[in-house]
Amino acid sequence: MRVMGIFLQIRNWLLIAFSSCLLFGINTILHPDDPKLSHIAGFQSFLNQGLYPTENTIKIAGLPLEPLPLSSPSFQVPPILQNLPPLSNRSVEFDKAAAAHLLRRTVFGPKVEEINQALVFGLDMSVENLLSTNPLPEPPGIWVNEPFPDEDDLTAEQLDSLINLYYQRLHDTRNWWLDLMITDEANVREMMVLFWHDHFATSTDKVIFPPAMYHQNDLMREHALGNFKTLAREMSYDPAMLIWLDNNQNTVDAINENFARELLELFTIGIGNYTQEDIVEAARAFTGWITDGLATYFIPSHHDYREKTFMGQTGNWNGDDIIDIIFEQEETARFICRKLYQWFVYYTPDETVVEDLATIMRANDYEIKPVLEALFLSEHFFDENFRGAKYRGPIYFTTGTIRQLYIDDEAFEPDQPEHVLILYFQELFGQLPLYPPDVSGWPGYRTWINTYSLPYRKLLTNGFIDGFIYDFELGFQSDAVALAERMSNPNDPDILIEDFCQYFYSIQPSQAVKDQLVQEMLDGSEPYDWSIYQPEAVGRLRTVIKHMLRLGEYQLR
Amino acid sequence: MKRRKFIQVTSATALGTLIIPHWLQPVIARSSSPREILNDRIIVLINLGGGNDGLNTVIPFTNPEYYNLRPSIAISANSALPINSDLGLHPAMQPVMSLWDAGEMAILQNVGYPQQDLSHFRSTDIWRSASDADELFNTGWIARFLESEFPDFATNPPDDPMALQQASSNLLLLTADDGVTGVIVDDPASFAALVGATYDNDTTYAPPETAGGDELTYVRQIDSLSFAYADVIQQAAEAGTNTVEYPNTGLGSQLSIIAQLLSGGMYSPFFLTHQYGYDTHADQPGVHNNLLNEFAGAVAAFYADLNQLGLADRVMTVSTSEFGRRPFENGSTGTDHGAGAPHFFFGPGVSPGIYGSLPDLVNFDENENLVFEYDFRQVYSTLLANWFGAAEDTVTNVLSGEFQPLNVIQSPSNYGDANLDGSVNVLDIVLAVNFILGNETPSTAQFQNTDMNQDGELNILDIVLIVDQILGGISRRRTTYSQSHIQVQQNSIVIPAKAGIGGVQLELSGDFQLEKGTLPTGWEWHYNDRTILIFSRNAAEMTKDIQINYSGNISLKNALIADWRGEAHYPVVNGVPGRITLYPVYPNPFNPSARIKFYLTKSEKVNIAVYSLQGRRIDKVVNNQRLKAGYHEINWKPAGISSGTYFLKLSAGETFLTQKLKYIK
Repeated sequence: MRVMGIFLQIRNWLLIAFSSCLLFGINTILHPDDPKLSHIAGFQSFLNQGLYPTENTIKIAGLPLEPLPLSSPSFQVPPILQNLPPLSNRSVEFDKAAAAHLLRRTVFGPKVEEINQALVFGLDMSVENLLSTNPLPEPPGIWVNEPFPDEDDLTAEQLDSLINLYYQRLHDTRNWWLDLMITDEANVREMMVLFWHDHFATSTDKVIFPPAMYHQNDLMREHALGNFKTLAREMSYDPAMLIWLDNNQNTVDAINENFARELLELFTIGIGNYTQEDIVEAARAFTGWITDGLATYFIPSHHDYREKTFMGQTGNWNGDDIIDIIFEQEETARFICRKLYQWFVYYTPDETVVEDLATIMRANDYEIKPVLEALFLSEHFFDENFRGAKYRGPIYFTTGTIRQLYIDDEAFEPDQPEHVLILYFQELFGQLPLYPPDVSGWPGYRTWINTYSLPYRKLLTNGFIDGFIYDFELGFQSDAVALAERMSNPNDPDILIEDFCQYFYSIQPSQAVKDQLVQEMLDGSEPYDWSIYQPEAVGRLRTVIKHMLRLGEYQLR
Repeated sequence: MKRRKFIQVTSATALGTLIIPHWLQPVIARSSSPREILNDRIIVLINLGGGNDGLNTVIPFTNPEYYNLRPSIAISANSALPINSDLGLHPAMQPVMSLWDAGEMAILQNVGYPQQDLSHFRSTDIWRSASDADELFNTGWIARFLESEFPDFATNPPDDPMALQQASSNLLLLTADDGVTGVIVDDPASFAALVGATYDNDTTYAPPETAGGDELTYVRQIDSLSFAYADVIQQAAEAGTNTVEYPNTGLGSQLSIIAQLLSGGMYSPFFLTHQYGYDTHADQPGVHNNLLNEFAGAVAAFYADLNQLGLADRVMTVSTSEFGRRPFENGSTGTDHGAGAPHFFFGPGVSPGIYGSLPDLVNFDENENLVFEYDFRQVYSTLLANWFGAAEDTVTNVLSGEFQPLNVIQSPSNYGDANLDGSVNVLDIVLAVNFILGNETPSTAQFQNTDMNQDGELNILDIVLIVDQILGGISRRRTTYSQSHIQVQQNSIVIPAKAGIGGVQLELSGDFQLEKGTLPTGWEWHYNDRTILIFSRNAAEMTKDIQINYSGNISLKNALIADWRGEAHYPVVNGVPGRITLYPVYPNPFNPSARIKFYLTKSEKVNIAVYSLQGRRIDKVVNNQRLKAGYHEINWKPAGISSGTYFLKLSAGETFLTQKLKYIK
């Protein structure tokens, strides 16, 4: 789908040029009389307006206009599982179910061919492919390097239309990213970008400047499988992050500890491993930074040059020093490995495995790839307990269903208004990209499924198959017959349902449920009469696929 | 034991069984619906997500420290909406002033918990799970309460959802050991159509015994929950109505849905609503103003609606928030995460007023935050014990600890039932008198029922309140009490006749013999060798002097007068006040000087200072001086002050007294 070749090269060249700009930007020191400062002040006052124009969302009769906001994690924490294999056990039985399990955890809704391909490659090569480095994608538009206009030049009307333009571009950025999730094949990168976005959770709710949101996303993609320490340091000076956690307002005369607190609590080491004093001292070290949304500048007179004592070490620390000290702590590797474990395996971490992962991470100086490799090659990862133990989160559920139903192949045009529908439902389910509920990211796990979201999830999968929701025409639809054709023996009703079950579910239903589904599909006719090429087969296939996607099993992966 | 449980037991005894076997009890309990058990009462929680800035919500406008701590974001004394001489509400709270004026609003100051956790996420979970700061609970306090009252809810669900949550998909409050105790609904009108279009009555099978199998069980439970209540909610939404127009805000819409469902006949004991955005680290003034205005506007509309619908008496609305904010502002015209903060109770069931002391703006906790006075779990125990009438044991179990309920909510009707016979009558007065005089020892339940005002003490105030309860609340609307005095003479104690006195309790010592009591018509007296109780069981007014004759030497240690509302007053004994008193400044208005007269019951360290209306300190009249017991008089002659109104503030020991005075040039 993507136009590759020459464009990609030009884009990569531009990107290299841009990133050196960015590096230069980080090192730029501003003097108090630099005219740039008045521009930044204008930008800041624009951000402070907190204007929220009507977003271009669709209106579907019978569906709510405003989605439900999410908040912090709260659910019955599942018990710690016993007798699981250690990380070092590597005798994985890599059958079809295991291949599907590996891909369901690493890409958004693996397709039939991808699962078959993984089986052919075997575990080692499949993992190597998943972790391989792909070239970075082209940005969503040339606007990503467009600076914020000088405020003095703007009339009220211009400001209004600028905000509307920004909202459109934020949507464009979302669509661009969703497209990457849908089109990237057998690579864990976009799953990792979502992980980092959930981890360094930054929202357009406050950062309404699209280039900043884009560049942060790009930064996370660049380091998706790179070095955690490098990413944490870059993130500390990232324009969107500076705006999001007010560190652009953190000066020697007015300490704002918002960023420092979250850096410690949520980004690097976790609660219980630092003191309130450490937060204040770290906040002092991170003073003096400011941003125009594209680059980050340092104002020496805003920096606190006095001595700080952070985590027991005293010196005239700056932000980089704070990062260094944090990454000297044993707990830091444990903290991020625990989160990676939860992201890829299960909500309740196996602390023995986390410890082993952390050891690997420390031995590799915070490189992420060796950690994931060890995890994906372990028996532990493939343990029967974890099959179906993770939820299809809203982003996963929507993009993954589009992929698994092959809607993206023919009907789903990434640049068309259909995307608005997907964004609408993602928001309804509680996970709009670039819009986490707060800095702790999405609570995830069981919060994805509640009496509110579950019926709407089923309404949407119905719609994907039917092509409409209530009276609203979606303009695209899954080809049920074509989907059946991809199965091993679609004209044998029992085998077809069996294949569908393996394709959609991580937990296989009982024979009684499968029999019920077969009967529903046959709708009174005899099994030997079944052929997907009969005219009435389409309707029956639609009915049974809809039903299968409504079962609880489909909410899990 | 509380009356509710007791009634279940007596109804069984009527069947001929004196002691109910343990195995029968759940069966009896199950026959009662939530509606019956919880007296048809409802709690609406409004969570102010992000940590509401208490100091800019309930403003201590006479405290100059407040203005020192917040030079650019303080709310000026002029714009605060005064609710007493020291406190005012943020001007954006104007819509709820009608509730305040109607006596349907209470403010509980300085709510927090020990070792306040400054993380939103952790602190929110602490509030929801009602745990200590260093404890991790996976269940919510509401769910634990519902599960303890309706233990079979998972297998035998009540007709209506036990809790309905809006605007958050966080289920911690509703998560119990046996599952989820409520539903999340956003749009009740379309909920049933949606569920109808998506629910399958499938053949089920036992999920595998794996972690994945547990998640499948969870998804299925949510699936059947939405199915179970879809019809009920839709029908209530269709039958229900709103009588007023709500502000077009998120919270306004949430509260309008609750009124609509209630008027449609649905009964859920808990409704959980959410407002977000209180995390005002930067540019607070405008943001906070809008938030509070949304909050106050929605609540005011809600009660206007409930009143017209005839539902207001049943609904108690309470605010929660994970923490308050830092007492001093940060450099971004905002405030960082704090600790203690005020919370609101709304509804006719509230005992109106301000509870707790003024926030201490000098002595902070280890993170330089406001020190808490009430544990947030006392808000919960108050709701469970006093609003739902839950048994003491239940409340203690649910909150895993004893948290003293507060009298912010009027006690449920089993109060006054001293002898636990299911009704409140003259026998209870007699028993209460015997408790106070030490002739009988109350059980825990008897004590709780007799301690009408829940001050942890049985005395004349409780007697007057029991009388009032029996008479159906006639007497509490009587004349208000004004200062009276007691004369201790050679052979008699005399309390001169005065309207507004509901009862008197005297504590005596010495070697004496009580001889004769001359009382007004309808009054009686009871005594032992140290206590005298005098009251009227008909709530008759005091038409003539009370005179108690004695022989020997008597010393009056304490005198307590109850007015008809059961409020305590300390009369002047032999012309000497019973407590620290600040007399009206004379002259007032004044120029050039004013006389400040006060009385100390014992030697105290005293501070007297004068403040401007903006809270700026003008002068220190007495600076932390230890003064003797007795009368003191000071002539205050300020220099260089402008015409206007000032506050005089006296603090002595734990007493704070304030007076307005006016200077005229």
